[in-house]
Amino acid sequence: MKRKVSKKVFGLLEEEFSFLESKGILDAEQRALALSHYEATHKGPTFLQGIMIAGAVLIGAGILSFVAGNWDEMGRTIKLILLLLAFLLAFAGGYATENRFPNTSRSLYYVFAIIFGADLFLIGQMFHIAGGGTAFLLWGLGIIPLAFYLKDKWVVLYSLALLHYYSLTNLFDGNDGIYVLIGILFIALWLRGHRSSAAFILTFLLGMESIMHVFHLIPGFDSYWLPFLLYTMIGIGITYFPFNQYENSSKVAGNIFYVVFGLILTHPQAWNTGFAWWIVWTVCFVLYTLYWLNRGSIFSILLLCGLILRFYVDLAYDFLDKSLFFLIGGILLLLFGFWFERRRRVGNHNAPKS
Amino acid sequence: MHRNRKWVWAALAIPFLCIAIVAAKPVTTLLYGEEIILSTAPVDPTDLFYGDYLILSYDISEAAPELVDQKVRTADYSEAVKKPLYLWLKKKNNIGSLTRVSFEKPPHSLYLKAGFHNLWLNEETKKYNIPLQWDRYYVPENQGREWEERATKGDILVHMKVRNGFAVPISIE
Repeated sequence: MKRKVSKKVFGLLEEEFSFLESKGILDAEQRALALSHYEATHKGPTFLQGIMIAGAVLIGAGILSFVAGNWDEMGRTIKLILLLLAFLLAFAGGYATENRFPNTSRSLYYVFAIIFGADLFLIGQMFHIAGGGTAFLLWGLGIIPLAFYLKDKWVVLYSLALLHYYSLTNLFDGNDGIYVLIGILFIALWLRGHRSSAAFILTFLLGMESIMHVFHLIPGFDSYWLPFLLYTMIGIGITYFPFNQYENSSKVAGNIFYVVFGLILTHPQAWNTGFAWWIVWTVCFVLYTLYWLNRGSIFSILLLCGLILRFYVDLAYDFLDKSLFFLIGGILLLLFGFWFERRRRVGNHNAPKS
Repeated sequence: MHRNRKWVWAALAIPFLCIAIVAAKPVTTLLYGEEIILSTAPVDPTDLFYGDYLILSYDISEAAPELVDQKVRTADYSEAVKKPLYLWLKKKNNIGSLTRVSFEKPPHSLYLKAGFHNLWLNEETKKYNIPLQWDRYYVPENQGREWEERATKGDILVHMKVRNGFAVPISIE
């Protein structure tokens, strides 16, 4: 059986085998034989699928816009009945066409998922419920079973987008973090069976947002440095212990957290404590980054540049006028650029030669 | 395609349940609530998903200090932040007015529930502002402006159904 690889990897293999042929290591026959063991798979949506998805999204947007238009020639109760009917019909249509017309079926399920949101907004409109939060939360949670049923990455990504919207807009006044956690649990469960790096990274970020929600459940909580510290630690942690199936995504997400929140914590205002913890933190952060720099991590060079610039901005902004500020900033960047290039060249020289 | 059939019913039932959850409280308030009229001065913005609406700023959202309980005025923010505030209402000619703001639940049914965390003292008017969650009234597209203009000539009245501290605006005049 042929080994299935992505189109990109197949192209790379083709190029590399040709290279080996040009070096005389393989002959033309061997090259063709080696390549015949691989098969490029088409993972992205086909043209037809693309058209169907676009159609479903257009219908959905039309329905959402119809609700937002609040057309007064038709009573809201009639609108609700019509939308509920459309909601059921889209689902039934999707179910009925599953075997014979899989693309149509999927589009109808997408329409169902969007009408569900329109229903929630219409009910909000009927009873003059304040907008924002809950509708997006329920929309995001409500379509998770559909994602499980269809095993569909797009529904999961859509659900994640809605939950993120809810989570971020309600971060400081909502106490419903627990529902977001339920969403994460389900999506994490889905991820176990169906790999998707994008969904993994988004779920990880949503998980981090929920930590903040959970802290807010504690009465009188105001130690905002604590979640930041936790984020940095988790970030560092998952670069050492990445999730099995998502090794690269774990490292990327972990590094982003380590950099962003690590840098935030170097600012005195991030710590609303009496003791100047930011100094202790900055020293530890610099030492840890230097440790990685010593191990040849190009990433930590970038981080160190960022760290120096952050302090440069913080200390020098009030005292120097802008021209000097940009001049020195520019020289610093150039010097780092030069160092970075030299470092990379040294790295390349050390690489084993073929 | 191998799909797990047990998810198919969940895929339909969970969204239905969500719709029912959203509708439950307002429907019971509409059916069993008590009617009251509140005065307001609306302005007209637009929401991307809900359409045009009027922001209702109720007169009862501004409380003179003497109407606010001493316990509420002197409460420690971090201790009381999760506590509900009760707005005691009184009807005169069907129009509601505020009589007291407390942590204590009124013995009668005519009251509205707000959050302590939203309470703030307006230094200019020396009154306490208590934002309420029923601050939107959805109107058909492009009709908001008319209401906004009408509001400059006089107060707009909002008819509401009130039950267990929850309210549903039903009409405006």
